[in-house]
Amino acid sequence: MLNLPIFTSLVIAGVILAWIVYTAAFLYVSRHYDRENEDR
Amino acid sequence: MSIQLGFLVAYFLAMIAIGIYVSRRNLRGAEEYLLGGRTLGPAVTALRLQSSSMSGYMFLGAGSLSYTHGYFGMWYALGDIGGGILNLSVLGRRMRKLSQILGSITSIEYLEHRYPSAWTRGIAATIALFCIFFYVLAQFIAGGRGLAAVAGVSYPVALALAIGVIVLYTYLGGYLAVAYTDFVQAIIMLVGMMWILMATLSAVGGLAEGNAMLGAMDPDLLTMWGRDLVYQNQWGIVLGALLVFSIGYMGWPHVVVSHMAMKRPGVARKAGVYSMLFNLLFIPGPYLVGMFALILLPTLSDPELAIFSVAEHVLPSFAVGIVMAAIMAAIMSTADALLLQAGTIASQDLYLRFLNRNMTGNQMVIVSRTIIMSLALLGYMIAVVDPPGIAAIVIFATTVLGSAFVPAYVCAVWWKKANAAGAIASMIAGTVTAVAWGLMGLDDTTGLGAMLVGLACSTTAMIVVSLCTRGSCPVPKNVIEALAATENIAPVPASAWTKQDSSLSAQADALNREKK
Repeated sequence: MLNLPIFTSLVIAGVILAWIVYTAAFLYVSRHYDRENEDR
Repeated sequence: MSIQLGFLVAYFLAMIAIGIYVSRRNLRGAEEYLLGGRTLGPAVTALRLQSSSMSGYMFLGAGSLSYTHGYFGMWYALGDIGGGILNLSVLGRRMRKLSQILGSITSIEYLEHRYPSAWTRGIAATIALFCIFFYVLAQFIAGGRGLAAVAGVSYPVALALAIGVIVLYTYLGGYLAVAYTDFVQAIIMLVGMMWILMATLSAVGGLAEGNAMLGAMDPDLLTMWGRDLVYQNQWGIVLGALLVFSIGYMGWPHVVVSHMAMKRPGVARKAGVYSMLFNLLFIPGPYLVGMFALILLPTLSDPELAIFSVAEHVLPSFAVGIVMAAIMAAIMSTADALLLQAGTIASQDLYLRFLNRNMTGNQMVIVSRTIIMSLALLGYMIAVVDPPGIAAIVIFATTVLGSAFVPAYVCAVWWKKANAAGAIASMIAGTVTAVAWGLMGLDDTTGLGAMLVGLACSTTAMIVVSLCTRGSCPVPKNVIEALAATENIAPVPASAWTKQDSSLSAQADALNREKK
């Protein structure tokens, strides 16, 4: 992929994908944040 | 005046204008000055957090690393991409709420309130102030050198100008000025970096073609192991590279203070997404440009100038000015956050706490401003007489900060059994290990990064000492109640409000609302 060795491609794509999945999981888990009024 | 210099002058004036605009707002005491009255929304929170985390290192160090070792630099970038979301998801909401309940307005004071002991604050403030001063000194030197290169003025004049602008807007508007200038600077950094990345990719014929040319030059550059495969199977170094800018951020007092200034605890959610988007767009850029500089400019004498040299090579004059403004933005957005934090620690955490406990909020603002000015003058004198190496100071200071404070901040909200003895032991163990590892150069001989070892020691100390001193140093009842309120996603109970310091402006507002 993009003239990169397989290992380099897998590491880069894998870690970025892992962070995106982590962000999505955080969004899901924290879905109540906005609903609850934790003002101040 | 050259076009580049024109852009820089316009940029400096814009930053000062933001400082003046914010200073017109009535700063009612310490909480307004030091936390902007806890009024910041997700976009400002996220971009302020990111830009103050990313110093001149991103434009100088990152480019140099990938110019020297190719795709090995991506280990740092891959950790860095998740640093913001990790920080906001692990600490964000809980730290915002706990700091509010405990009535903390500085990130060091927060540690003392969570781990009640004068030693907590004394030790934490000393470690933080020491590291932050050297970190900000590195930013001053980088700013002075960058400006001298573009403006063609002598280094002492450029240094004075760079420090002067930073001090002026930090001095004027406190945290709000720093937060809003950091927000604008993050956008400038992103625009500048995207521009130079696009131009560089265009110059080498695209990403795939650029990689093919790099591979033809030296196939090792395309691996994740560095030139001559020097880091092959060095998993201790690789893990350290991944951790330093991901987990490490959670221990930087000038970064985690962002959580305490959020408008509401729930701001952390959207801020996490903004932070991830910013990082995905920005962070790979400096590393890729640094690598492709090998193709465009293979004989650079100073790899730290790789990105700047590529900019001059591939961009028109006016665009080089924008990229220079982006570089200055990276330097200044970190320097102002550090300077404000250093002033805060010296005034609030040391002077007010240990020398004059009757100081009013307005007096404290004056003391903080005086200290910022004093630190700037001291920084100027050191930087102008005998400037030390930038990269070495930054790596040393950030490693010590991360090693010393990550367990203390993380356990503060996630582990109820973490007590004052554990926190103090953790901070000391992390600092001593990281300093000793760095001074003795054990990274190379052991194959383990200082960050990795420092973090392991401070975490172990936190767990072992907290468990061993459960009986002799129990976690106070008010802290346990505050932690219980922090866990719940609900408004702070009235019982928690009544124990707070009603002199703090935002809390006073909230108390008044409660009474109504």
